[in-house]
Amino acid sequence: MNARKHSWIGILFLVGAAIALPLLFMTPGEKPKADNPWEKIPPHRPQTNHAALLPGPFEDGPAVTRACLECHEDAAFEVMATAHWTWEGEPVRVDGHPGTYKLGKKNLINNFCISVQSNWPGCTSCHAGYGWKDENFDFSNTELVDCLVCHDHSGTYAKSKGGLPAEGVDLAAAAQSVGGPTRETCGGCHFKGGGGDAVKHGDLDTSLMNPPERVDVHMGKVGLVCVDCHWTEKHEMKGRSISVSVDDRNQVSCSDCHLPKPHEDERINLHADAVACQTCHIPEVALRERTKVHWDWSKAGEDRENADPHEYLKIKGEFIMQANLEPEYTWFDGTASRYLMGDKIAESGPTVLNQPHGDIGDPSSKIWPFKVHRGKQVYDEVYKTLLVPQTVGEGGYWDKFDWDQALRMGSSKTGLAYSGDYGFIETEMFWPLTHMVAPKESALQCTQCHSEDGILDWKALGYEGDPIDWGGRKVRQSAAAVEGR
Amino acid sequence: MTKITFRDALASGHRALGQPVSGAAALRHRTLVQLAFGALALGVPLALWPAAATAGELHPSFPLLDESGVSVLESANAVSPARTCGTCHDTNYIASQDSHATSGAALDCFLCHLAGADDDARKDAIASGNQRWAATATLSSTGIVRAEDGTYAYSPEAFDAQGNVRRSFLSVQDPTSDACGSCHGTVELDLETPFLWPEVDPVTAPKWSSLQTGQVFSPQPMNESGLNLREKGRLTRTWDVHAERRLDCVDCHYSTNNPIYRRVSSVRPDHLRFDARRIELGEYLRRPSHILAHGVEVEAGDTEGTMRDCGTCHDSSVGHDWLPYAERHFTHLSCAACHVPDMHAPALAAVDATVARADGAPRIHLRGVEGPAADQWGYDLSTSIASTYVSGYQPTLLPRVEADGTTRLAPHNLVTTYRWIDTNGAEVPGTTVAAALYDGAGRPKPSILALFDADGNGTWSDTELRISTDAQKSGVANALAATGVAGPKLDALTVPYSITHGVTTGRWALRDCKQCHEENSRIDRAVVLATSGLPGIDPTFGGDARTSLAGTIRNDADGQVRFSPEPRPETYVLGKHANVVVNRIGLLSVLGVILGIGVHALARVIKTRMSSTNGTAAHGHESHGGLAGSAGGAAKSVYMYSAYERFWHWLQAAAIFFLLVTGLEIHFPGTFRILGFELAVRSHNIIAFVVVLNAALAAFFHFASGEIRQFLPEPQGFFRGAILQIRYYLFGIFRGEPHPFEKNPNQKMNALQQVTYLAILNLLLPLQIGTGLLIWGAQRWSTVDSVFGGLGVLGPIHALGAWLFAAFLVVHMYLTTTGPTPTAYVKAMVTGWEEEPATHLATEN
Repeated sequence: MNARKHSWIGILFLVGAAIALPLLFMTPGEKPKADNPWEKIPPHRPQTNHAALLPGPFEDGPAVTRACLECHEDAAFEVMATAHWTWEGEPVRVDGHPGTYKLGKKNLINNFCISVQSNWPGCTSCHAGYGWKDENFDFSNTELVDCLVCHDHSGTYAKSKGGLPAEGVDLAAAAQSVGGPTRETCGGCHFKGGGGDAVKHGDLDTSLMNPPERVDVHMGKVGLVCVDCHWTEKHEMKGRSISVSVDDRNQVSCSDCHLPKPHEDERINLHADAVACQTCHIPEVALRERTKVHWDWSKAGEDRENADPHEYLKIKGEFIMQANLEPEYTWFDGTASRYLMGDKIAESGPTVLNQPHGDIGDPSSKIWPFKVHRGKQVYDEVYKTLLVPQTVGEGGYWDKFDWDQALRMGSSKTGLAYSGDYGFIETEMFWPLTHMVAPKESALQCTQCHSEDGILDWKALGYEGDPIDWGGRKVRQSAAAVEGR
Repeated sequence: MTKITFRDALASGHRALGQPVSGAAALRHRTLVQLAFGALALGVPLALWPAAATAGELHPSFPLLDESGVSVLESANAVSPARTCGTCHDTNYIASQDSHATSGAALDCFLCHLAGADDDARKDAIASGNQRWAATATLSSTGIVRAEDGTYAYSPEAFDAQGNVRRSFLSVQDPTSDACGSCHGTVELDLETPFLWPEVDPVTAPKWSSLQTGQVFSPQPMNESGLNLREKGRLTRTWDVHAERRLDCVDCHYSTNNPIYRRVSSVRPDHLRFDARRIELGEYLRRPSHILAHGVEVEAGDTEGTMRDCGTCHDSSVGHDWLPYAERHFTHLSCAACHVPDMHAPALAAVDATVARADGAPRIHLRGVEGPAADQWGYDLSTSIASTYVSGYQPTLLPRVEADGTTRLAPHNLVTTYRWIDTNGAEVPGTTVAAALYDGAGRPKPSILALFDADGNGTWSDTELRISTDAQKSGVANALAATGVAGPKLDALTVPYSITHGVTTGRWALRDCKQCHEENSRIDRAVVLATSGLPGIDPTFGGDARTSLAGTIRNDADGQVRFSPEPRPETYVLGKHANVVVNRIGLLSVLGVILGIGVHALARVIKTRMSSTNGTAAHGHESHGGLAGSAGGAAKSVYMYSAYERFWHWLQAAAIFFLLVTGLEIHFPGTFRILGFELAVRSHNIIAFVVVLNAALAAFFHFASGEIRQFLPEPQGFFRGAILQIRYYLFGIFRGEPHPFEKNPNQKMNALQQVTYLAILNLLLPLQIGTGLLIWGAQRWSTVDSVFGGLGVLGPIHALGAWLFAAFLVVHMYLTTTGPTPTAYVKAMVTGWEEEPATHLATEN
């Protein structure tokens, strides 16, 4: 009887189901999942107010670190395992060299300020530690980890020579303000690489502190901060660049958040196998600040009157700074070769310090945009190797303007053989571009590449001609695909 | 150690790596493809062709010859392209068929085939009566010739020792889009320079296809153009997707005997998919057909419709998954109807050539712009558009017979020309009209001025110079007659120009159903032909016979002349077309039923009130049928409806209610916005099948269980029962009489119910299911549909059925309140248990 009385509930349910289920199952399914990058952005942790926890005063940087470590016991050990501390990476194989190498800023040569070695105090103001002023820095001392350089929210923290806090910095105020890394903390070093705003990367400069949409769509339009893409776990950050890393482990990629082929237009999606997202979506860089594309050390040491410091400095030589830099394009599989200290220079043509790997036949290679920094730097005419001059400090090149002396001093620190005969040779360094992503409306248009005066040189890229007319690339079968047969 | 490449690479700004900078790459890739194709056909290995060859290098150098075949270096005569190019190419053949050369002008190969042809110099030469030197003038910007006192001299440095033109001076190519655009329409291939409307001659006005329709062929995003476009920031689409995707004019309008593009022969045997036999490349190069493939807009005999239509390149079955009834849309709409949804550039609306500026330029009215530029003199829009607001316009959809013989709605712009015609019907040219209005110095003739100078200030303003009175009409006619025009007569002609360029991708195409599926939609929206017509002159329709201009023209009170297209009778667009009579009958029947019920219910309420105030309510039948709540006496419940009966009833109720609501939205999408048109259609179709299935299962249940007898009126006593029932509803219910029909599980329905349900289940429901199925299957069984008269018949019948269903539902719901208590019957249908008044039970027992 009771069951009969309440049978209407069942009937209601059945009627509802008979209406709803056909509607649910018969209406055509949603379009293939739309690109929804927001899902992938890690949540921002709420900031804890540290004002009461860190009353101060602090007599020096390590004192702040000791206070941090009282609660964040593992933090220093985590940092000390990262490249922000070690300035070197995991052991990797390097083209043309036996064994493996731990490569990093610590031991590599570039064609900007050339090398950290022998120039520690000048370079290590960007080291996430305190007091690295020579080869004897203690990399095992947790107190020397600089927490504030990444966690300061007061905007007042600054570092000077050897990575020590700059004079006059209120350490207590900085310590009390701490929170997650901001555009300002990351940018403090990364926007100013190479000795000034925008100098090194071209796609990273202080305009990204608060960029308009057309400079960087991620930061300008949707308000991302660096660590939204450079995901961080235990102080280990994703993201590598072939300026110091030759492998592409732990890399950030567009497809971390976006679908690999997110376009509505099938024709555009078809490009994704051979063209990196960056190629179309970063049509140019250095949009607000000029970036350095050429540095000629051989002209240094001259007393030029009224020289524009952006074009000539006695201590550094001649520069070319380029605004709205249009990238150069080549195949890139994410890895690169690397010039190591003591390597012979190229027998002809410029010596490429980090040649991107990749070619048209390699299925994992895509056409990538690069800033190519071209330099003219000092080498040993007898041993045919690049040399490292000591620039900073007493007797260094910037003190005496004496190459021979600077090179002898440098050699004594690096152990590089120096014959006494030096000259200047051309070098090139590749900087893959991946920031300053333009709004989609500003991405490259078809005819910007596919036309007679298009920006891609198809022949140089290995095509028979414009692939619209001549067809796309034919990739080599990967070993895995062959085995799979 | 090389020091050169480093510097060079820096200086060159060349953006690809590791490649020395080559010279200006003028190579037409397509030409090379064609040649390579031919090379294969000729058995020459592809590898032999120089990889870095450019068109200029491929084309051999040649001497310039005059009319008698002598080198112009010797004769110093004008160049004859027919002789010069005729050395290798069959220029007689080319001239005989080239529509570009049939206008009386001498063949000028250079104009289309030369990089940097100087069209202006050519026109100047023709204008100054120097026809013979026109082709030579085309070479002006190449450095081969110099203009010297009305004639031309050749520069010796442009020729080599053999008398051939040096390659650096002359680069022969197949026609670029820019070359075509210099006459046909607005072409802007440069991405860097913001697009502006090009300057044209205000009277002769080349680039007609842009003027007629606003078509622009450019890969530039609209928001980067120099035009002041409405919602410009949003317009990130390009002017034409084919230009964006790097197609050139000649990719579609190709030479019709080009062996690469050759169409499959119509006499091809069925078993042959591809006919490899075609003319050799060499033969083609000697006699390239200069009849270029084109659509149906040009009347050109057997080459009409030679051009690829959308379907020869595009597969419409891909990418239209989202579109319901895709095939049906494709049958009735041209691709352009949706893929050219809006024009974002000015186009002619009307030309008033009955008057003219001194130079012969007519007064024109533009569509798609606002402000002073909308009305101006002459066809040169370059200055006026640069400083005006371009609002754009929606093309008019008109039925057009396409190349394959099918008729589809295609986008058009309508241009109406008010003009003078002579006795032969030929239009009087603007310069003749100007000669009638103005004296030799360009001043208005006094006699004419008097006609138009309304304010008497000694001159006419732009607004005054407009024929609006009979005096003006006859005055100008007389003046024209004086200049030699025979029998000048005013006339108006409306010509539809089909729009085939300015195509956009799916993202920007029409996707909103209601653009068409709504009461006032693109299908028949009135279009302004002219903002001010000529009194008494109604436009007649012209243009090719392919576009049908069925519709009405009216002169509105605001002075504007409007045209309302009338869709063909077989076009029945859901949501737009509705039968007015059916809707009136339907609405009236529903409203009538509601009114009747309202009166009935009111009477019951009043009766009940009166009864209770009289204090006589508390016994027997008094409350029966009233609205006063629970019946007197001990009520007993009877299990009236089994679970399944209740299930099918409520499912049917919910589903039919759903169908009525969604049907209402489909029928009046502009008025009812509930689910959105598309979802309404989809869900209506789905739930309709639920109704059919539920009805079928319920029928099975009733037959199998024998419950069907409930529905069948018994022959004896039926009429008596029906009359009793009617009498009860009309009188007894107010007097508190007992319900004449005693409901019990074995006999649940009274005679009226039985006959109503019989009608609904045997007539209305099958009718709705049948018409509904046919409408749903319009795409699948279009022939079956047409047997029944197509959607134009099926739609209104289905709508009428829906109205009747709605009327039934209202009555049905009202009658549920006539039980022992107002909610008793509803409760019974919910719980299965019906409360019976004690008296009834007594009689039953």
